[in-house]
Amino acid sequence: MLKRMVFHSKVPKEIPIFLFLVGLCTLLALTTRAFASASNLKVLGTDAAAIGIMAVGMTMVIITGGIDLSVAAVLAFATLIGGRTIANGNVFLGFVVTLIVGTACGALNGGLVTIAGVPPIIATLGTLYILQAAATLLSGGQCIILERNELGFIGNGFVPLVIMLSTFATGYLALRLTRPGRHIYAIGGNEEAARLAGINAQRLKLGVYAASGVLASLAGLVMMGISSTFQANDALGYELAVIAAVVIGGTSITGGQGSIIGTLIGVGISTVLRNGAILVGLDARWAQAIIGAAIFLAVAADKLRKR
Amino acid sequence: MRAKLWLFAAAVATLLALAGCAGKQTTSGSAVRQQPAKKRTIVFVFKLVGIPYANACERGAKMAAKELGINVEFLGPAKGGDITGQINIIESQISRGVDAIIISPNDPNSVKPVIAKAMSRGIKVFTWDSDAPETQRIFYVVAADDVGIGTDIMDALAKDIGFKGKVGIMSGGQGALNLNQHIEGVKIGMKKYPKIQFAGPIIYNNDQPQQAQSGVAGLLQRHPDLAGIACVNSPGPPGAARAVKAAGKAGKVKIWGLSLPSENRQYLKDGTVNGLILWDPVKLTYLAAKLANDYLDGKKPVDGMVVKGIGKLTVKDDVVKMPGLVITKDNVDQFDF
Amino acid sequence: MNRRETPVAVLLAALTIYFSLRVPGFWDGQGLMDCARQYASFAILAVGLTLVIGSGGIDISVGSVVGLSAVALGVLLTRSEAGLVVACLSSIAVGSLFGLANGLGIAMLGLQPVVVTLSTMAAARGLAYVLAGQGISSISLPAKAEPLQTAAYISPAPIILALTITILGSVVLTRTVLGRSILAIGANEKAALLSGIRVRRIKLTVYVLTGAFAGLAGVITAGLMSTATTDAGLGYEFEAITAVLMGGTSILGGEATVVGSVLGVATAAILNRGFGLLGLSDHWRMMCLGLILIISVLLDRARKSIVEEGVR
Repeated sequence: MLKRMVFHSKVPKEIPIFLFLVGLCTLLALTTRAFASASNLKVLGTDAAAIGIMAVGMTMVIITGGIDLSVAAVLAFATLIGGRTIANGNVFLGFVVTLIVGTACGALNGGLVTIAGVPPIIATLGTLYILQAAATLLSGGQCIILERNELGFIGNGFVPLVIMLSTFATGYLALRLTRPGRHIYAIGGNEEAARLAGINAQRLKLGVYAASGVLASLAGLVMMGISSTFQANDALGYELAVIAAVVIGGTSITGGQGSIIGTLIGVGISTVLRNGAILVGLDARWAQAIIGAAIFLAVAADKLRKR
Repeated sequence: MRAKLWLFAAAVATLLALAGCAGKQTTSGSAVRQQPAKKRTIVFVFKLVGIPYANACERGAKMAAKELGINVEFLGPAKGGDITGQINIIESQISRGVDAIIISPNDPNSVKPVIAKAMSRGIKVFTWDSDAPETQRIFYVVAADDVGIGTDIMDALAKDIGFKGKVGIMSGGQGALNLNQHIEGVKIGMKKYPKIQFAGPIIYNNDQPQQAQSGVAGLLQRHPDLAGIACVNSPGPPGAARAVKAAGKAGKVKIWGLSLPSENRQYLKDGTVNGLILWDPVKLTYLAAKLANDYLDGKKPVDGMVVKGIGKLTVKDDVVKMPGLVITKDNVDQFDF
Repeated sequence: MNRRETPVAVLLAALTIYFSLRVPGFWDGQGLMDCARQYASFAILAVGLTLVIGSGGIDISVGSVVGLSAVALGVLLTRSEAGLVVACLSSIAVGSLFGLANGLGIAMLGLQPVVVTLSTMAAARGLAYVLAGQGISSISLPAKAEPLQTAAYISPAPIILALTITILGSVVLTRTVLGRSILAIGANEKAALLSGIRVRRIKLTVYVLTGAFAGLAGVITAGLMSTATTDAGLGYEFEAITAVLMGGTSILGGEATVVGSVLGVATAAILNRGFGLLGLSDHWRMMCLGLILIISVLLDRARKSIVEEGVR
């Protein structure tokens, strides 16, 4: 009973990083005129959307004790396949195709992990190579251009931010309020025990990887909506940013515990850092070094707090 | 015994997979297999593949292959600004023993040793689109004066913003010489107008449209009263246009840059982008291939020579120039690149 | 036929035969040497990574550390009075420092290896950019670096260095107490601790060693290109880890083989050479690498299940 209270209690874990985020935002608001404005919020939302959406799926995967390195490649692959249909005028069909491809890729990952028993890091590293290569080869190096702004309805204004926040809300509710959600934590905590308690670990894990895949493809659609173009290398390297956000948010890589709220804060911190760098006129490359340090500090602080 | 069977099956499976891979032909020039040894092979190594400008150049390369009856390939790293990736590709071409390599370097310094290596093995090396002047490359094919074109952009932009206000600059990769020279030209142009100030920092989009858009979005936050943006690489204007539109400032922030009509058609027509200064990358690449092919036949480019379909070339100090273009909403539909 | 290196050895042999038949000029001596030189750095990284993964950890910062060390070399040679030897040693030291940072975070603070090395990966790459300076993405090595360039470019030094490190690594792993301890930690850290193994110290050692190897790889890379580029080593960690996993080292820790890892690197090298000569783009190579990675793991599982069946 006590364990369950502590397990579900969210107050201790997210507070430090939340305070860090608030402090960072306050600092930026005071030193630059532009940070605390509606238009900048729009910019932040647009920057954060794709990574944020993927981070929801990644959080669930990591909670089960796995990892998904292939998210960026799934994004590219799915979006390129569906994108062509969209560019030809079939927006709805293209949308659906993209999401289906994303789910299929996620299921592939899930199958490799659950049925074939390949460790997640290897399975998703392999699919990363394969899907990214396939995406580039399929696209023939060509860029998809949406001349009539067909996906404007997802890319304009605050819509990306709203989509991202809705994804977070859905993920949060799914993990906390539904039975499968709680079982996901159980699997991550102790898979054997969970299995013995009657939980169908295989099916849930498969589902979680499939979710990661479909969210990656959704993120791709949002990206394409924002910039009306898409090319195979648009999301290169994003998987690390996604994992970083999840990790800063306090989710443990070993699984069993994690928080969607924490991930949201993590996404917030890395987006604000990148945005803040331009606002203060700092070389964007400094931002990378700072984010690295931030990750280290976040996890170290979390660990020290536990002692 | 079963272990052996497993291993054998896996080895066979892999071999078959590889055979399948190697046997495939795709539409992209970057996956075309090596032609039988005797056919002359010229390989373009661009800064990257996957952006419209690169696609247009590739069309020029293919055009040259067909017309000249030789093998012309178009390669480049997958990511923008990938210096090491570009060097690795060039090294592969050296291993293959191609006849000529034409490079648009991400960083002019970095290709010096690999160009020397190629030349020492009898492979002729040229540059096009962006130069590496301190290397052994034979000549550089370009469609403008790299510095002058920057000044031209600034002049056009200045006129549209009424010769006063804050102007931002957007570029691609930090190392590319042609881009840095364009920036130099923009800054020289800026000095002519005392009421125009530079609104920094310079945004580097690494040839990625996403970064172009988010970079300008950030710049607009930093300088809400920005009057104009000068973009020196092709993903710039469309990315800037989208950022300006999203901020509700379409028409208020003027945009001039180096980009393709195909990427900017809608923005030129609705006025978000004011104009482009460019050249025909298809023709430029075709010209580079043709001149390289001529060189391999012993014919050097000559000042004032006229090339069919392109016009008159100027040749000075190893730099071969072809004529450029100004593109506005009035003539944008004339072009198919 | 039960050795864990068998799958990768078979794959390597199959690929070599295939390319020999399919690709004219595959056995060109100079081309092979160039390829070997390029992959010497990977082999060196792979040895360190084998020990790290064997101990149950991982290090994804190696690529960025290669870049940082290359840039450090370039900066020291062009902006300071340092001589070539001092500059090279300092660059290796820079790598070791990052290895130390990793080790402190993982061994002393007990943080997760993925997370710590993710942070040092970002930090090292960022520092490489910052160190090079605003707007500078490459530094040409000056004249005093000639000996290094000759050593890297012309002499077989990188290959000999890689072979030496491979042999040493293999000996340490299989025949020394250190090696056995590393594997014990990877297999069951608690048990290792209880049996008196100095877990913290050993973990620290493997990360520092890997950092030093990354520094060395950075120096070799810069020497090979005669330039220190800010994106040197980009992506090296993925390819090196793939080679290690292909070679039979288990990602879960406790079972590792240096020889397997280097065979894995050789496989990657052969793929690179073969595909490059065929004029196929890098993407095909990456796709095959992904396929081989998954297949080799499946093979390893098959091998394990067969062994288990035999035991029963």
